Amino acid sequence: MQLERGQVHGILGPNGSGKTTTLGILLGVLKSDSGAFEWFENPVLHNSLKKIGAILETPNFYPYLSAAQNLEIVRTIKGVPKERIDEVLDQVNLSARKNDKFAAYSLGMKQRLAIASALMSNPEILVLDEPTNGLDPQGIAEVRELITKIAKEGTTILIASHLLDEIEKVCSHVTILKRGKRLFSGPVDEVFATEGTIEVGAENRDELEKACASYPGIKTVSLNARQLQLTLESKVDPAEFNKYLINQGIIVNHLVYRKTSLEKQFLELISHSK
Amino acid sequence: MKRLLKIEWLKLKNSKAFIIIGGFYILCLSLVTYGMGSFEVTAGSDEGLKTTLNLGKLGVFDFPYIWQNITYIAGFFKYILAILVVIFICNEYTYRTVRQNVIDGLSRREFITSKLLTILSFSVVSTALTVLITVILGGIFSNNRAMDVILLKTDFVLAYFLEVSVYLIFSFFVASLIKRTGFVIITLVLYTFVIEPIAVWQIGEPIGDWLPIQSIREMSELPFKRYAKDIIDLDIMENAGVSAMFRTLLYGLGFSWLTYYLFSKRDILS
Repeated sequence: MQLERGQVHGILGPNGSGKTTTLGILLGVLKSDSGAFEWFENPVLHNSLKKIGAILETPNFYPYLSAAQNLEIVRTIKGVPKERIDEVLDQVNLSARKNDKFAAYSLGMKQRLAIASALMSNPEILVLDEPTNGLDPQGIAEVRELITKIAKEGTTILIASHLLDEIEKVCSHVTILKRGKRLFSGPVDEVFATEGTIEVGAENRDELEKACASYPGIKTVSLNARQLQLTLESKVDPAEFNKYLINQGIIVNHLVYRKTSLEKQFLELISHSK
Repeated sequence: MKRLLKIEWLKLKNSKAFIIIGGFYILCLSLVTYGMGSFEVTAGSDEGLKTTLNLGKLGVFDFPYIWQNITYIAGFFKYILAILVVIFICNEYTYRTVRQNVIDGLSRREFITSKLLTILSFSVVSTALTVLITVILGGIFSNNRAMDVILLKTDFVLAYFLEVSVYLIFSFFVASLIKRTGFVIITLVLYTFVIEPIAVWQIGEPIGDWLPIQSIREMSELPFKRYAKDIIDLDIMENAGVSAMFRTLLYGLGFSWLTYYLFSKRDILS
C-alpha cells in the first residue's frame, strides 16, 4: 500500500477487519508481527510523527485540563509556535470554549478538538480513525465538511472507516481490508466500476443463459431463485438488451435493471473473497 | 530535557491532585520534623531499667546528628510522593494519553525519560526541602553551630535522596506494569510492608539484604537509639550504609532500565 502526496486515502473494512490495528502500527503504538513501513522515507518514526496529525479511535486528552491547556502539551511535543493553538481552535470553531475543561465537552466537541490537535503542526499527512464514529448527524456533517476543507487545502489524508458513503464522499483512493488481508488498493472509481446488475427471467432458462453469456458488457451470469442475475462491466441499455433477446427468440417475463449501490458492491467485494 | 520537563509540568501544574497531595506532603514534612522536638522515646524493658526520653531535651536538633534524625523521619513521607507518582502514571493509561503522546511524536524513550526526570525533580525538591528544614531547625535549636560540625554526617542527605528517588522509581515501575491506581497502591503496600519483610526474615542474610526495600532501609536506621545509649548498650550507625547505598543505586538504575525495556517492547493498547 502506498500513500501519495495529496491523496485522500480511505481504509475501508467491516468492524474487526484490522483498520485501527493498521493505523496503530503506522503510528508506532502497536508492534507488527511482520512487515515494514516508512513515512517520508524517514526511518526515525517519532520525528515523522511530528509532521503527522493523527487520531486513533477516541479523542484522548487530559480531562482535568482545558482545551487550550491540552493543546499546549501537544504543541510542546510537536515543537510548533504558540500561535498555532488559537489558529487550530478557530479552524474547528472551538475558540469560544477553549478555557472549558475537556471533561465538560460533548462528544462532537471532543472529536473536533482531536482534529484541532491533529492539525497543530500544519501536518503534511492527517491520519483519522473513524472520525465520525458516535457523532449525531449534525456532528457527522460538521466533521465531514472539515475534512473536505482540509483535503482541498492539499493535505494528504489517510482515513479509516467502515462507512462506505464516508469513503465515497471524501476519498480519492481506497484500500479495502478484510480480516487483516488487503482485498484491493487503488482509485475509488476503479473499485466501484461495475455498472449495476440486471435481473432477467424467461420460460426457457438454458436458452436465456446462453444468450446472456454472449452479450457484450456482461461480466457474470448467476442463478438467483427463478431469475438470472447479471453483473455488468460496461454500460448496458436495458431496452437494447431486451431487443437482443427478442431477436434471439427469447421472450422475457421478468427484467429489472439495478444500478448497484456502493453498499452492495462493498458487501459483494467482501463476500467474494472468502 | 528542558522540553520533556516542560511537558510534564504542563500536565501537573493544573491538576488538583498534584496541588492537594503536594501541599499535604510539604505540610506533613514540615510539621512532623518540627514536632520531633516533642517526641518521647521509651527505652528499656518492664523488668529492667525503663526511661522515657524527650527528644527535644536530648538535643535531637543538634548538628551534626540532626541530619540523620530529620532525614530518617522525612523518609516516611516518601509514600505520599509515591502515591502522587502512581496517580500520574496510571492516569496516562486511564486517559489513554500515553498513546496520544506517542502518536503526537513523543518517542517511547522520551516518554519514560520525562517520567524519570519528573521523579528526579520530586526527589530533588524533597531533598532540598529536607535540607532547608534541617538548616532552619538546626539554626534555631542546635547547641553547636560550628561550620565543620554542621557539615558532618551530610552523607545521610545523599542516602535520603537515594531513598526517595529509588522508591519512586520502583513505584513507577510497578505502576507501568499494572496501570490501575488501586491495584498498584495495594501491590506497593503489600510488597513494601508485608511480602518483602517476610522474605527478608525467611531468607536471612546476606541474600535478604539484597532485596530492594531492605537495601533502602539499610542505608539508615532508627537514629533515636543514640539517646538511649547511656542506658542500654547499643550499636549506633554513625554513617549512612555505603553498601546499602550502592545496592539502592543499582536498583534505581535497574528498575529504570526495566521500565524502559518493557515499554519499548509492548503494544500501547490503552
